[in-house]
Amino acid sequence: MHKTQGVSYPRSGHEVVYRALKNYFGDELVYCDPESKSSDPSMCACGHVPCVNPANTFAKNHDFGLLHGSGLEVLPDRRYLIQFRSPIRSIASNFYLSVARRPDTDNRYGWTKFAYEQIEYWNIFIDRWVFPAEGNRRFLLCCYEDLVADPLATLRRVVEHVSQEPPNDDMISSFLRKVQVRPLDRLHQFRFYDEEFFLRLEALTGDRITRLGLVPFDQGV
Amino acid sequence: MDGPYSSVEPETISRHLAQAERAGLDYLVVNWQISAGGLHQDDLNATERLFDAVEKGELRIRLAINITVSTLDVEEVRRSISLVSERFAARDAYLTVDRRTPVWFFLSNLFISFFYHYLRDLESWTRGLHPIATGNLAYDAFVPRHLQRFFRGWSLYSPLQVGSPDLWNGLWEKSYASFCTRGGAEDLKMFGICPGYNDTALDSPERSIESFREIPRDGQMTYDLMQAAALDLEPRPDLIVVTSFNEFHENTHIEPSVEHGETFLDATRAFKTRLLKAAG
Repeated sequence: MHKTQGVSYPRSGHEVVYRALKNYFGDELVYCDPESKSSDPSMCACGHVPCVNPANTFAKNHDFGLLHGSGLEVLPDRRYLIQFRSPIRSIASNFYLSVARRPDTDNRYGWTKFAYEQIEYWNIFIDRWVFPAEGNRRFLLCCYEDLVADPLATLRRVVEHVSQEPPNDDMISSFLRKVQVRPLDRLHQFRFYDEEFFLRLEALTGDRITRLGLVPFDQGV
Repeated sequence: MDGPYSSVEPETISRHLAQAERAGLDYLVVNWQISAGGLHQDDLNATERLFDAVEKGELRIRLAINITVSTLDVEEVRRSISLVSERFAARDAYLTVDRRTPVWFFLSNLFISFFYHYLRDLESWTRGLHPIATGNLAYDAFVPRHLQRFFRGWSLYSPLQVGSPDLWNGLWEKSYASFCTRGGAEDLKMFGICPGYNDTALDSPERSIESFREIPRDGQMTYDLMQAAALDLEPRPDLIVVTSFNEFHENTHIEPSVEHGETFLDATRAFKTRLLKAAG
């Protein structure tokens, strides 16, 4: 397995990709999540970014430093798996996680503040990691909507990117029989669903949604 | 978008009323500046014409008056309150909320001095009116009790100046909740919202000591945050006050402008829709 750095926008399917790769590569995959407090012995607990464990083969990072001008460095000895998702759905989904950490922000004001911060982060993330990755063989782009629409083909591309051997479709299929890739969140059920506000947030992304071939929120599933 | 204008001109009044209607505003508060020479005749004329236009046009919008005292001339203050009482408060176009007739007072330092000296008179002059406090003083338990007793509504005029952005929502909520829990049966629960603020082009000693003089609109973000705070309030406010319709000098206007186009007029209308939806 190639040493691979995962760089994902939150709620873009990193967890399912990690589990698929763990299932596929077994002990060969030594995972590093610098923010994890897990005591799983198979996880690297170096706490560094980038990971300093020589055995590490796959690492997670959301590159939050981008918002403060101190983003993740691209290293010459790694492959990169870039995961992203259409902005409104990922931000709404991420809000649930955010309020679990900070229940005092579970209100309309908290959502509005969060949404504006996150849309800025989404734009920076796309400009820093997604557009420059196109055409670079060390980088693979993995869009959450593709993962949901065709999990087998998408995970096959991921395995192909990180593996030194040709992918084994049977192993990927067996994983998908056990684990269902979650369908897209039902945005209409989001507590602060507001079409006019979502349209305005999307407008702040400029032409990025179109350039990436993503579906605007009101045309999604 | 039409450059400098006079608020006395009938075409300005028509345009403003049409814009207010488009923004979904239920009422406009007309500011009266009471200086050493008293209320300026142009302000009085503009107010009369505004009331006439609303009544003749049978418009839905209502009007109210805010008194900003910039003088210690007691007779001029008395005269202006008397004008509100006798010439405007009973007019069809004047705003009433469940038979309460609100009149706003801007809590400048000068007014607070005046207030303590002439409290008895103010109580007498405002009989039949419902005094509302506005200004930069957030309501809380430490507001002097005479002010608490006299005013039966309280709204921050410049809510973005209460503190740094990370403190905004907490301070707004606290001030609102503090007023709501005082238990006055006749009180009007009010909340002020604002799209941004910038008075750095103005040079005065009073302004220069303020800490937060430039709060960018950031597109609509600042206005959205204020609206979200208003929509979260429990109990729901009786009145929401937008600062401002056309205070261009402090860059709080929602009136269409070259810089912002009609964005903030439209945003206000959309906010009204959300408010009505939230109220069921």
